Parts: sequence; structure tokens; C-alpha cells
Amino acid sequence: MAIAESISKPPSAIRLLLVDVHAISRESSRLLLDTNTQFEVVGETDEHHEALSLVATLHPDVVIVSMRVKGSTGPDTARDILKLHPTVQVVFWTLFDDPEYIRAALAAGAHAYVLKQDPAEEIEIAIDRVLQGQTYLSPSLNYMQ
Amino acid sequence: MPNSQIAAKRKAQMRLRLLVILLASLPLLVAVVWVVWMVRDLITEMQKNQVVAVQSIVLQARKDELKHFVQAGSKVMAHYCAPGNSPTKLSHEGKELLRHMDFGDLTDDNYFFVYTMDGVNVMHPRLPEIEGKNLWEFKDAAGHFIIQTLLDHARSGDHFVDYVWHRPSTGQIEDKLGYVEYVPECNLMIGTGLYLDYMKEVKTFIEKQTDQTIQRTRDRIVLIALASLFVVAAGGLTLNIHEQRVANQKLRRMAQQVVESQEAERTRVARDLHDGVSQWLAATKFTFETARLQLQRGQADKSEQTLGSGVEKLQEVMRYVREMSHKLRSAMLDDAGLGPTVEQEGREFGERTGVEVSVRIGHIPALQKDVESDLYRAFQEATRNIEKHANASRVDISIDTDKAGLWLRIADNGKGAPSGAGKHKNGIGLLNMRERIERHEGEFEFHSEPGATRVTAFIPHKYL
Repeated sequence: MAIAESISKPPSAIRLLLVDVHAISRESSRLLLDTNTQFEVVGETDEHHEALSLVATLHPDVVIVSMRVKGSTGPDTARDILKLHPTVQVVFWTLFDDPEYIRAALAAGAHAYVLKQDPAEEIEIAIDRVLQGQTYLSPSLNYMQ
Repeated sequence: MPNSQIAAKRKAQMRLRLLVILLASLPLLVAVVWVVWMVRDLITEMQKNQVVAVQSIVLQARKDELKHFVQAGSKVMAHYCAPGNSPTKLSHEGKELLRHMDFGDLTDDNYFFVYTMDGVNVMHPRLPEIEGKNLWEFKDAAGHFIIQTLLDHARSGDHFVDYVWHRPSTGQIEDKLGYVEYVPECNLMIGTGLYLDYMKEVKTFIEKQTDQTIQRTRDRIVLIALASLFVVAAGGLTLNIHEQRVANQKLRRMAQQVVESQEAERTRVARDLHDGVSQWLAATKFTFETARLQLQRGQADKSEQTLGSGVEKLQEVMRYVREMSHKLRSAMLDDAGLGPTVEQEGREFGERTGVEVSVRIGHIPALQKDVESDLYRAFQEATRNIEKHANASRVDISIDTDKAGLWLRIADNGKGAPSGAGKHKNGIGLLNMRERIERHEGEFEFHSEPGATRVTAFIPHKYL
């Protein structure tokens, strides 16, 4: 796989935190991300405050946020995380392709927006790009740009 | 269905209101008729009294008039029977003078007549041919000897006489009031008569006046009654319109509630779809992608387990979808009732399978919830059997109600059930249907032969 090969082997794995209200989503996302040996899912939560404290304690490189978060919304959680930890990268990974949601996520400071409908490799590309300091949108969202 | 019930209730209320208006108007009408009748009676009574009173006054006046005229005439006549003349002979001059002494308004018929005391006519200005003739034996139309009567009255001093006479001006026999006086100077009787027709005129005049009064009074009463009726009707109508407006508002509110509840239901379904089905489908997709990535990235040992988990997730999704569709169906059954649901599903069945489906829904009364759901399940089971096993090209579905109860019939032209369908696995569905129907003392019939399978479910009236 071109993408997997292109990512140079880092000294340590990329630390990921999953924030998603649906347990089934977190479980399958973790399974998918685990196939990439460069990734390490260090934690997961469905709740806003827990997400903030996990970012503080687990020091993830990338936080993967969905649109629905218990006690808040995805964009609000993203905004609060970035306020406290400006160096963390936030990637939205969601089923919502409504422009309103995408705009809200980007306005909150998200670095990438990936649709779960797209091929699984898209999340890997997004993580790679945001760690290089770029922003990334799934190609299927190109009409947004 | 609630809307039609409300409409029926409203209709009944309107009928009741009409009845109330009618009941309010009826006594008014009766009262008006009664008042009109009473007033007419009263006025008629008054009229009779008035006629009598006026007639007597007029008669008295006429009597006085007659008396005065005859007295004047007798004085004149006495003058022309001066001593020297033959006592019974009136001078020619006097006779001619009296002949020309017409008086009163009706000059034509107001004149003096003069008779000798043995009945010979001496002077009659209108009938000169009888002058000199003895009318002692003359009878009037009623058979009375009038000249004798007149002479009797003159002699006795009872001057007034009622009789009938042949009226010269009209040629008619008419009532006449006579006044006669014996003039001793001439030994003659002088008299005059008054035709009583104007007494009739007085009556006619008064009657005409009172008739007009009655008519005017009646018209006014009717007018007042109509105005009252109009007020009552207008009041009723206003009440009606007001009630109708209130009912309409209620209906609108209910419709609004229905729309809102449907909206809420749709929102719930959408959320279920997203939170449930979409999330599960996304998870399933991830799982299969995981298996692909595992195979690609040298983790093949894990991929079998991952694929198994993907299949499990798909099964979960299928279960979920079935459950939701079932919920939606129940919601439709609740909202729209058996008829529309069966109609809709029959149509969908046709579209899905390409089978020609005819659905005929007759009148369906309001059904008890469990009866409705059991009939629906029977329908579902029957159509499912047709779809799975029958290989039919045509399906006829009908629901009818007659005096006995409700009939659900589903017929197809498929290959028919194998004999003994009730015993093996396919038969469980049939048994189920039978149980559902017989629970309500209904009858369930399954008849099948190649080319003609019929399912009939009957629910008696008392369970509807």
C-alpha cells in the first residue's frame, strides 16, 4: 500500500485519541487504525470533559473527533482541546457530510475533516498531512474548497 | 379515525342546533297565529257592535228626519184641505205641491204618498198610474196587506212601519221604513218611506274599515314576528358560526398535532437511521476494510476473525433494519389504520415482486387494536408465503365488511401449497394465522390447489 509505505518509520508510534459517542464506532475505528503499525491508539472516550483530561494526561499527537460527543458537540470539544493544547492536531472523522458541520468543525480549528464513507486510507493520509502541518479534507469534500 | 369522528360529531351538533332554533321558532309562530286570530276575532266583535251602534244612531237620525219631513208635509197638506173644500179632497194645487216635494239626499226615492183612509191612492209622484186606484187589497212581496197596515199605523198614531216595497229607482223589492200620519183636516194619510239600503252601506263601510284595520294589524304582527324570527335565526346562526369556528380551530389544532407527531416520528426515525443503521454500517465497512488492510499489511492471521466480526455486524444491521421497518409498519398501522396500511403494502409487494396485485378495500369500521394487528399479521404472513413459495403472477387482496363481520381475503394463482402444509415448517405460519384469527372467535380458512390458493380470515362483528 502506497500510503503505508510512504510514511517513514517514526522513532515512536503516533499517539491517537478517539472521541466518539458511539461505542461501535470507536471499536471498529480502533481495529482499523491498529492495522497501521505506526499508530497507537492511546485512549478513547465518548464524553467532552473526559476528552479534555485524556488529552492532558495521555499527550496524544492527534485527536480524532466525531460530530457527536456526549455533553457537547464535536466542534466545541475540538475548540476546547485546542484552547488548552494548541499543539495537538485535531482530525474530524464522521459520517456527516453536511457543509454546515464541516464549516463548524473548521471554524473550531480542526486540521482535517474525513468522511467515514471514504476509503479507510483517507484517515491515514489525513493524520500524515496534519502532522506535516497541513490541513486536509477528504477528496469527496473538494466541492467545499 | 379521529377526523371523521369529529366531523360526524360536528354534524350531529349542527343538527341539534337546528332543532333548537326550530323549537324556539315554533312557539313564536304559534303565538303569532294565535294573536292574529284573537285580534281578528276582537275586531270583528267590535265591528258588529259598531255596526249596530252606528246603524241605530243613523236610523234614529233618519227616523227624526222622516218624522220632520212628514210633519212638514202634513202641515202643507192640511193647508190645502182648508174648510170649504171637501174633507176628503185635497186641492189639485196641494196635491201637485206635495208631488214635487222631494227631499233628502236620495232625491229619487224620497217622496210623499197620499192615500184615502179606505185605501185609494191620491198621489204618488213615482207611480202616477196607481193614482185613483184602491190598493186596500194590495200585498207586498211577503204577502202582507201593506196599505192596510200603513193606514192602521196612521190611525193609531204609531207612525213608523217596516215593510217591503218595489223601489222605483232600482226596480228591486227592498226593505223600507215608513212614516205615516193621519191628517184629519183632509181625512187623508200622508206618508213617506225610507229605503234601508244605506243601512247596508253603513255596515259595508264599517266592515270595509275594520277589514282594513284587521289586515293592517295582521300585517304588522306578521312583520314583527318575521323580525323576531329573523333575530332568533340570526342568533342561532351566529352561535352556529361561532361553534363551527371553535370546532374548526380544534380540528386544525388536532391536525397540527398529528403533523407534529408525524414530524417527531420522522425525526426519531432519521436519528435511528443515523445513530443505529449508519453507525453500524460504517463500523461494518471499517471491519471489512480492516480485513483488507490486514491482508495487505502482513497481518493475515487476524483477518479471518475480522471478517467474521464484519459478518456479525452485518447481521446486526439486518436485524436492526428489520426491527425498524417493523416499528414503522406498526406506526403506520396505528396512524392510518388497517386499510391504508394493507393498500400501501400490497402496492409495495407488487412493485417489489413484479406480481400483478389488486387491492380492494371496502368500508372498515373502527377496529380494536389487537384485532387490527392480528389481521395485519395474517395479511403479512399470507403475502410473505406468496412471495417465498407461490411463484404467483397475480394476487387479489380484499377487505370487506358485511352484517356478519369483516372479511380479509388473499388469493393467488401460484403453484399452491404442498399437501399437508399445516404439518411442516411452512405450516407454522398458517397455524399462527389461524390462532390469531380464532382468538377473536373468527374463522380462518386456507384452501390451496395448483393455480388457486385462498386465505380467508373472518372476524365477527362483536369483535370489531
